[in-house]
Amino acid sequence: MRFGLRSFETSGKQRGLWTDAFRRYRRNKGAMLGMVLLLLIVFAAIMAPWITKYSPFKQRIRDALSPPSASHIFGTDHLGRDLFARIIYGARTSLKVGSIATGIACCIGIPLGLVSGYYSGWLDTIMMRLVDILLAFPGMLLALAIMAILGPSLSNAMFAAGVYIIPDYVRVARASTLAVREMDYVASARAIGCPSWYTIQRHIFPNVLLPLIVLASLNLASTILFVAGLSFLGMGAQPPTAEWGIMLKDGRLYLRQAWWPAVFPGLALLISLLAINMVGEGLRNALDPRGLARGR
Amino acid sequence: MSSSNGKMIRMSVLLGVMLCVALVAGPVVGADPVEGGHLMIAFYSSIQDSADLCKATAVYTKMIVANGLDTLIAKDPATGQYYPGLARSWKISPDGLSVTLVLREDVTFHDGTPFNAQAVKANFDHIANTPDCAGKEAYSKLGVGKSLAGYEVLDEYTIRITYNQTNARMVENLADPFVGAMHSPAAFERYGDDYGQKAMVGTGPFVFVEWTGDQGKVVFERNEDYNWAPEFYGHQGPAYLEGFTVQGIGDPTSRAAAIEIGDVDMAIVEPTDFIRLQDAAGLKGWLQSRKGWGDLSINLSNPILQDLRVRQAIAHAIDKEAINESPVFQELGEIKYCEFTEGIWGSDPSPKEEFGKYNLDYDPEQAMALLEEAGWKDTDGDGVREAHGVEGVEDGTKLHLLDLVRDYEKSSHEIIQGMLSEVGIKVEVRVHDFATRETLLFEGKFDIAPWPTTAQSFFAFNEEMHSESVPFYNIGFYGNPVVDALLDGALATTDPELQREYYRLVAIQVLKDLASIPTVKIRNTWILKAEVQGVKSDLMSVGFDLYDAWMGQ
Repeated sequence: MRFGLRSFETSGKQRGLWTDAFRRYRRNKGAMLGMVLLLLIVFAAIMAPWITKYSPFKQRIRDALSPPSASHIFGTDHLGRDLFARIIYGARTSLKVGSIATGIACCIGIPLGLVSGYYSGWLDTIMMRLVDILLAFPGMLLALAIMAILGPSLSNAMFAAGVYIIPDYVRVARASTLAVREMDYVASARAIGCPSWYTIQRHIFPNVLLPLIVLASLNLASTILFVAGLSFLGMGAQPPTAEWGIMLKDGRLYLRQAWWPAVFPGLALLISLLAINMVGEGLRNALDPRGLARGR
Repeated sequence: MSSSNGKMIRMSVLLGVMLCVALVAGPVVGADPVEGGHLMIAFYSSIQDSADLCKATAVYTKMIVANGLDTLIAKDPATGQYYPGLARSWKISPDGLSVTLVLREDVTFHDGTPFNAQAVKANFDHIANTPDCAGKEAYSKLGVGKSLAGYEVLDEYTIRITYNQTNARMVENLADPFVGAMHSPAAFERYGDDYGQKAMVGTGPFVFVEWTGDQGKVVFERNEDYNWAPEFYGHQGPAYLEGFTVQGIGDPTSRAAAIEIGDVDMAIVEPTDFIRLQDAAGLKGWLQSRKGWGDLSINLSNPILQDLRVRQAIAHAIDKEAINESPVFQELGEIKYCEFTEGIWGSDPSPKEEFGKYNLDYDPEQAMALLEEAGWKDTDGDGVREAHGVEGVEDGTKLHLLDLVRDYEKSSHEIIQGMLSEVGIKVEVRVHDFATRETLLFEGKFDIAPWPTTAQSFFAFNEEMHSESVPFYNIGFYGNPVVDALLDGALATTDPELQREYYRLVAIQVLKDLASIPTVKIRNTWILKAEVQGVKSDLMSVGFDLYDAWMGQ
């Protein structure tokens, strides 16, 4: 049944789509570099308590703004907290933020897109107009409106970021569904009396998954940046959370006095986003050569 | 020829030297003021709530708007002495229950309407009868519904205000912009509910032009007809400046950048930028010690905080010296030993000498012992204590406090958050904008919060600590009959020494009760262009009085 997940080489040797995709991915040096960096970041986030002896929250006011040294390799911030500890614990926060926000968007956006594309008609029209309304709001404005209602916190910022990217998933899922529902195997499923929910779940969803995986990988980076932006504005993570956006905000106040509290969180954000984007681009080239997964 | 050349060279050298000296020296200090120039100011905000001061609660609003207003009685911020303002003279009745004001006859509002006793009455009516003013500072200071018995126009330029009990504060209130500043009654009628938003019409040296919001700008222009300045000012007639603009810039880095690149003429900056810029070429620093009181307010309606031992533990856990030494304060803060700042209490004896012995020392061990004794123990080892047999608190409840701050208070309260976490108290520091935070505070939806109030004298203490002031402005729900009696006593006497003694006793009692915990008071750290001269502190030392200000060449 899973026609969309199989391909054949002219030699006649059959290979799975994932094997093909992995081969294509491996040939992409940028994507491999991104993957290595991302794995390092994930490793650091998981192993944080074993990598550093310092707590990311412990203040030593009289050691505030100490420059990088053997005891504090990234120096200390304005409250005397070890910056290296805060950066690697901050990786935990950022990865969690990106994953949850993307997860929220996937959980809401994909079913809506599947239903919208499968049924078409008035349901599709209403859903697409709702998506258009969401798209009409500038992302940050929408997020600030949500934060104004719910109050500033990291979980609310994740929710706002998730809501902001829902339209991406609705549109990609719908577009793919429109194409897949015309396939013979979907018509066959209908002909033998499969209920709609079963057809969507069993025959359509697996065949629209690839562009959505690519979209999710790209959105991971954008949601991390988005939430870091909200934290920078004071609407996201609240003190003393180790989060790169709030660290950047605090650090830039002392930039003329000490460069390290702003530069290291900025670098961490830069490297992480670069790594995730490189992985995302690699996945797109490997899984979605037709380029169905396009964000805004 | 050679002699002529030599003369030319000598003249050139002399001129060059003179030019260099002029360039290096900059504007001559003590030079005569010159007219002209529009002063650009970068501040935390422009007007925050309403230019109609009876509707306002924000002290920055009052400070900015006061530049366009005159008060009935004027008070010199430098000496504390009272002078004739819009009232030529005033007389307090022998029983201390009324004050009769004889007004100036040569004053007109910015809209051309005359100032007289009917205008004063209309202003008091506005404060007493406008729904948005009820309960606010102007309403409370006028004594509406409490000590105010009434006011009557005796003739065109005479008005009498009567109280039903001796009110030692009446003169100070009439010198306060919230109550004593006069707005045009014609403008009240013309603009209705929009007065204070679209217009503000006073009698002061500057005329309101426009206001574009909290983080926008407020623009004032010179009142060319102004000729009734109180005598403590350095000159008479119109202001030297053609006008001024206050631009609200919430971001401290942007404020520092604005003064550094010359976009503005003066800016309030963070201590770290003050240290860096105060000696920079073409700039100068101005350190302004705020007058006021209050500090870390405690919400006593919370059963957890009703236990004195918990409040004592909080006080023992806070290291004030370390806070002041942090990069946040750069040792420019004022370490507090009582509710009053030194600007209110005075320096002989200093607050430390007078009240230091009632302060609890930094002692985390003692803090932890007090919490244990109060039933707060960390049995699950997560670093946060839980209730075990605490009266009024369910067992297992975490010792978790909510601290509501404004953005610029975040860093200093993160320090307190870190210090309290060391003794097992988890503090959630939540940043809110001015209006949201104030609403939450007045609704009692907090546990601890910075509440550093500005004031021009001891009297403000009555509004903040009297049990009748809950929740405006006694946000901590503090009530102590002894303190109430002392505060009432202070208002009932006109003897300054006795008043001071009453307030000293109140401050000691508040320290013993730990209704609020003294920590470190921020000082205003201003950077000005070197050519900006004559800027004075306002009554509460939170901002600027620009009547005598001028810009050198």
